[in-house]
Formats: sequence, C-alpha cells, structure tokens
Amino acid sequence: MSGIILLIDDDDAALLTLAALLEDAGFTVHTATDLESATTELEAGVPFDLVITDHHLGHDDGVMLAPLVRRLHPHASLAICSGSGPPNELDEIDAWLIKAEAPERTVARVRALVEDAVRRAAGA
Amino acid sequence: MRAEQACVAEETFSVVRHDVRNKLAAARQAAAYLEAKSRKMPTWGEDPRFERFFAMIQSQLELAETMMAEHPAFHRVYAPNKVRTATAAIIDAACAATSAGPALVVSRGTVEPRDVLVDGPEVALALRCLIENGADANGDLGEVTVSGRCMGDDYAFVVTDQGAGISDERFRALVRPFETTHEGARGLGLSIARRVAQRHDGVLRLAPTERGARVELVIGAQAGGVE
Repeated sequence: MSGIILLIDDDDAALLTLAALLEDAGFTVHTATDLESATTELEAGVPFDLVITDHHLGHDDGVMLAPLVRRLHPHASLAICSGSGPPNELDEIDAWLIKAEAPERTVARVRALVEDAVRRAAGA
Repeated sequence: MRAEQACVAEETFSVVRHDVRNKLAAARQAAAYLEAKSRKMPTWGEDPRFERFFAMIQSQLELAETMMAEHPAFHRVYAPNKVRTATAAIIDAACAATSAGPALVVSRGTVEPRDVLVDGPEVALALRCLIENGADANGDLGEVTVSGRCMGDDYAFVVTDQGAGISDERFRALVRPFETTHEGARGLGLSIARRVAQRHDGVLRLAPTERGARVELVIGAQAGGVE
C-alpha cells in the first residue's frame, strides 16, 4: 500500500536506512533531522499519514511534536522510534517502535499505522 | 554497592546501550535493504556467498544485540531489596542526605502516613535528587517542600520548589541521562528519579503549581508497592 510518512531522526544513518526500507516497501518518505525542520515539513501542506520521530532529537524530545501533528494532521498516526523501551505513560502517541526490532517487523508495524490513518481519514 | 553508585552506573549503561542499539539498528536496516535489492540481481543466484554473507551479517548483529542485553555488565548492578517502609522514614532519609549546601531549606509538608513496599534507600535517593534539583532551581532563596499523599492505591512523594518553574518540554528533556542546565553537574538526578519510579511501577511527573515546580514521584500499587 502507499502512504506518506514523515520520518524524523537526528542520526543520519538511522534516517537514511529506515527511509530506504520504507520507500522500498512502497511508501513516500519525507525526512527531517530536528524539531525545526520537522515543523517546516508538517506545515508545508503535505497530507501525512504517519509521523515517525526519534525520541531523543538532540536536546529535544520527539513527543514535543505531538500537538502540532494532532492539529495539522488529525488523521495521521504518530509513532516514536527509539533505541530504548517505552516509558510507563504513552498518552500522546499511537505507537512506540523499537529500533532494535527486525526490519521486516518495523515495516509491518508502519504499514498497520498507515492503514489506521487511512481508515480515520475515510471515516471523517 | 551503594544505591547512588548503582544508579549512576545503571544510567551510564543505559546511555551506552541506547546508543549502541541505534548503531546496530542502522546496520541491520542497511543490510536488509541491500539484501532485498541483491536478491533481484543475477549475481545472487550465481554466487551463494551473497546469501550466506547477508545471513551472517544479520546473525552477527542479532548476536551483538543479545550480548548487550544479557551481558552481566548491563544487568542491574543493584538488586532491589523491597521491604515495608514508612513513607515518613523515606522522606527523613532523603532530607538528611541532601547535599545542596547551607542555602537549602527543606520543609516537611503534609505527609500522609503509609507503609510502602519499596527499596527504601533507592526511593530516598530519588527523593534526594528531586530535593537537590529544587534547591538548584531556588538559587539562594526559597525553600523546598517535601510532602506525601495517597492516590488511591498509589502513593506520591511530592517535591515543590519556589524557583522559576519549568515547562513540560524542558522537564521531558531533563529526565534524560546527562542532560543538565548547570555546568559541572552530572545531569542524572531526574533520570535516576524516573528510573526508580519505573522500577516501583510508578511514574515521575511534573504537576501543575502556581509557583515554582512541583514534581511527583509516584510509587505504583500494581507491583505491590503500597500497603
């Protein structure tokens, strides 16, 4: 299936390789490396189905993007991608992706999150 | 090992583990992408080492992940020792151990009495970290108030300062290990407090307050932490 994803990570290697995997799986992937460039992407009018952000973006926290994602892209799914496990509270996001997961598992979870967003948009 | 040394070691391990996992993940993703592409090329069938080497790359990376997760050095270096402890005793221990200098004034707010099943030294250390953070926020003026309240089955230790306050975003950033606003500080206080809360099936959170910052260390009931 197709879908438009915004992928945010301050680690170039992680950004490049996950973007390549997702593009190979059929998704259109936009990338950003920090909160500022992510905000620019989110405000550019692209109808994102899924936003995946690294948890630790330099000194910032990827969860800080949640209000902007919810406001500008109300149907989009929002996932945190991290090298660590999830904290006890996950109120503001839809999924927590672990970077250590097998790539095919990550792609499958991304596909499900995009499908969720498409269903929400269709039901709106 | 003393609780403080153990917690510092654990936070350091957690940073190393996190960073190495990120690097391994990028390598796995790159290998998966290249393998998918290579399978479509004629050389894949002509040279069996392609398949063998890609399988080897994945297995070696998985092995590295496993070693990192299971290596004794990455395990908790401080075994929890949970015993029934009075909340007032935990607060007393935390206040007595603070090292924020003579300017620190710690006052006891209302402490609802309760016995909690916790690792007392560990929770006291977490509270001490919060008290010292509050003292830093106050500067030379103001006091840090420590109180405790029952929250249904949970119990919350509450530390309130009279400083400039802190935003949710900044608080989130500062709970990460080695994040600090003070030159020379280790930047581990909030991350240690958060980890202690998580080990007691609870949370560390910023609560609304009119002045300064109010941080709650919640001990959860799910793990039998509160009686």
